[in-house]
Amino acid sequence: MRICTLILLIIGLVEISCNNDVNSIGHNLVDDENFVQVQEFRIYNTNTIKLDSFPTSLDSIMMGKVKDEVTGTTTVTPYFVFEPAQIPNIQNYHIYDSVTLIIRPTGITWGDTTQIETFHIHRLTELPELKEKEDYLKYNTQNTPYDPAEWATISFYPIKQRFRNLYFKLDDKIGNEFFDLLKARSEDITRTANFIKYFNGLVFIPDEDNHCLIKLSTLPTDLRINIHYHDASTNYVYSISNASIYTQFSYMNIVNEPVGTPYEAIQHQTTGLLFQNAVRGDAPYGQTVAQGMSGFFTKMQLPIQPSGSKYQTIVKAEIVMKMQKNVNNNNFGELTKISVYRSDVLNRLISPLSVNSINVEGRLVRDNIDPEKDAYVINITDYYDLLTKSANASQINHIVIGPSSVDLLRSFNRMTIDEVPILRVYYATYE
Amino acid sequence: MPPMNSFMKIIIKILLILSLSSLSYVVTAQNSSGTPYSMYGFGLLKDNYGPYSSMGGVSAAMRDNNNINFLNPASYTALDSNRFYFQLGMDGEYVRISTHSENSNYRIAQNAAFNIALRLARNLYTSIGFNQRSSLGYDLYYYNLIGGSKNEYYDQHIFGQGGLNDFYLGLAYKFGNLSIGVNSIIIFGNIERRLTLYPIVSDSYYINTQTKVSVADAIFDLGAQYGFLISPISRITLGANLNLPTKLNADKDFVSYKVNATTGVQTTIDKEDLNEGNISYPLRVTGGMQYEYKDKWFVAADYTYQQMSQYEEFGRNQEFNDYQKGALGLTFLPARNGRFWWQRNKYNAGLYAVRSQLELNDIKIKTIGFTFGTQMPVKISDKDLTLGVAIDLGVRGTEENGLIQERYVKLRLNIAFKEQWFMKRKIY
Repeated sequence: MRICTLILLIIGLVEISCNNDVNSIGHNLVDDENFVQVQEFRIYNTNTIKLDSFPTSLDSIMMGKVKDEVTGTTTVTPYFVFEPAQIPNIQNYHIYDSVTLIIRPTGITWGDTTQIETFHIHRLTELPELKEKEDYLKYNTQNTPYDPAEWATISFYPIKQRFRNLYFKLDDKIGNEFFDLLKARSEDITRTANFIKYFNGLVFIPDEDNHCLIKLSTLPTDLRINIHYHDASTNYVYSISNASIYTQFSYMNIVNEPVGTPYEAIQHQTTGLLFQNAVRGDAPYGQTVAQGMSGFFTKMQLPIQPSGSKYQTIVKAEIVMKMQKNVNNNNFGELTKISVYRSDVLNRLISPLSVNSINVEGRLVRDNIDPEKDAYVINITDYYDLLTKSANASQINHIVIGPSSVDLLRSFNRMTIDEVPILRVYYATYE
Repeated sequence: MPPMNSFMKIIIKILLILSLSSLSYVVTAQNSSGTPYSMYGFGLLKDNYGPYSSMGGVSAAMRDNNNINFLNPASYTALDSNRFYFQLGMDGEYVRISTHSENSNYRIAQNAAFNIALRLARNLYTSIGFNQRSSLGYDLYYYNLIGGSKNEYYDQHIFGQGGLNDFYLGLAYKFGNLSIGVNSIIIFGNIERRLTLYPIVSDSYYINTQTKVSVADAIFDLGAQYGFLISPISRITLGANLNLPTKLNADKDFVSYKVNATTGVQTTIDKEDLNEGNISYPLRVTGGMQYEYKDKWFVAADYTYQQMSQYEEFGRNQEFNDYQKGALGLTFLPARNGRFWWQRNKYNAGLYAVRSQLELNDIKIKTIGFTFGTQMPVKISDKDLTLGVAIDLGVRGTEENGLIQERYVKLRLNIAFKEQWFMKRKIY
């Protein structure tokens, strides 16, 4: 019995006494055939391209003229159509008073907002034409004829704290014209489709001496023409508002003139400006830029590196673009999010770059310790892994980087890069 | 078959307990080693084991009628012809490991061997048993700089468990002073290794791999011992045993995954099944001698060589060095039939030196150990028990060149029972 007890004790000792505290020591014994490494490749084939045209038939309205030291002068001329409200019961005893234009800047601006901005308002002589071959869209390069006689000239200080509804008195000739139509209950004003064809719309032409871009609110309550009238006892207002149904006729003409900048050399979308050729005083190694409204994008042809040998694989791939500092950013904000598009040798934007139905996007990453290291980073791990395994990788490695399709028309923010972008690939070797 | 007596009942109970504890040991897959040196090959080979651990682990020429020396099958013929033998060996060790900048420790304890032996016929003996041949166990985390980066790191987690075990059936025959024997050994075991590489960067993948190797095959251990008197009071025994090089059948499964660290979505990168591979078990030779004087002083010496430079796993040479071990042991027995219990004890001491198969950072990994212990005979009516206690103090490796040094204290308990089974009843 004592022997059994002894043996049981020993077995118990065996079962409870194992203890392994060794969990980090012996580093140099570890086989160094398993490791993670990073390789960086400079993307020398980086160009700035400029879209020949892009559709601007959206509900965002910008107007103005701004000079950007990086990309030159950009002029944005909006075209609007208006829709009448329900016709009131106007009798002969109602008397016309005046007609006013109401606009509401949103407070979003680019450029110098401390000076008076002037816009010349003209009535269109025909409705903006929509063509099937253009997908019934209007483009930034298009214009619509307008009456050379100004309907009104409006001027104001676009200082943010004063942004409220702005009221401008317009010429009474058109005001009386509208009032007569209301009194007669003419179909030119009772039916929206007829009114649009009758009135055609307005264009706000920025003055040559303007200094900034202004974003307007497009809500019907914020962009309208008010007709004021009264009877013996009451004052009335009838509104013709910015179109909410026929928005396809509203668009912006956008012209960028990069005179005095390296981007003046870009004549056509198919000819980009190589990064190294965009040397300028504050960018001695070169420059590339992407900006909303002006149509500038950054085009790259990615170097094709190995996907990894056997027992080696890509665990991360990213594009890193160092942001240029001190480029008049007080008046121009930086893009904080960027989109990536598939492209080709003709620099076309084919489609958003996506993998597994998820669009590839990049963002501005701030370095809290050293702001000089702020950079745009785009994670392209899945895309690049597939690309390196593709048989025709050298034909499909073109990408374009820039504002999203929405920001292209809603923002003048800029991405400015003054060092050759880097492709950073992390490999894990294992066995 | 002799009638079961109370002592046999005790033995059966013990065997049941041992079986259950061994089963639980296997089920929990407990790491049986904690040293990073077990990462290589099929794990850490045992440098000093067997019933003569207190004598530096000598075995080639060792034979007596109290212990089952399973390391040389020719020794079975030294056992009593009318006894049934059981033997159980258990190891425990405390190891302090250190580098030049840090240190740690671990403790391990395990059932190491279980053996049975008896005489089958005149001059023919047999033994059957279970031993542990190698052990592998580590669970290590490292924090490394990503190659090519100045300030980005990755975590590396390596894990290994398993080892090889023996199940053997041995036979030995005695031709006068010469004994020859053979152990037919089934080597079996599983070795599992896992690796995780986890870059500490945002929006990346990490890698998990798992390698499982299963071994099951047979080898033969041939042994011979020859003893002769050189004087009426002194005797020499020469011994040797040999494993011929053998390719052990082994299966290997390897799978690797790439896991998105943000979403957890896992993709299989590699999945390889090798069902007809092999691991080469190289030639191993042990030779030695024992000198006895007046049945009081015993001196033994051994040399072991294993051609580990020829070790291959699935056709790939692992670039090991050859394994060599030298051992020297001394026993003092005051009086075999002394009146006092301390006179009947054997007092042992020994030392051994190993040049292992490992060469890391241009340094050959060596082990030096000093052993001492005792074997105490305990008689219970007609039952004999020998309780062997061995202490092994040793150093493995070095802190040079960023390596690790292990200083260990091992305790081995060897319990050997023998009971008379084959005495004819006297009829009065």
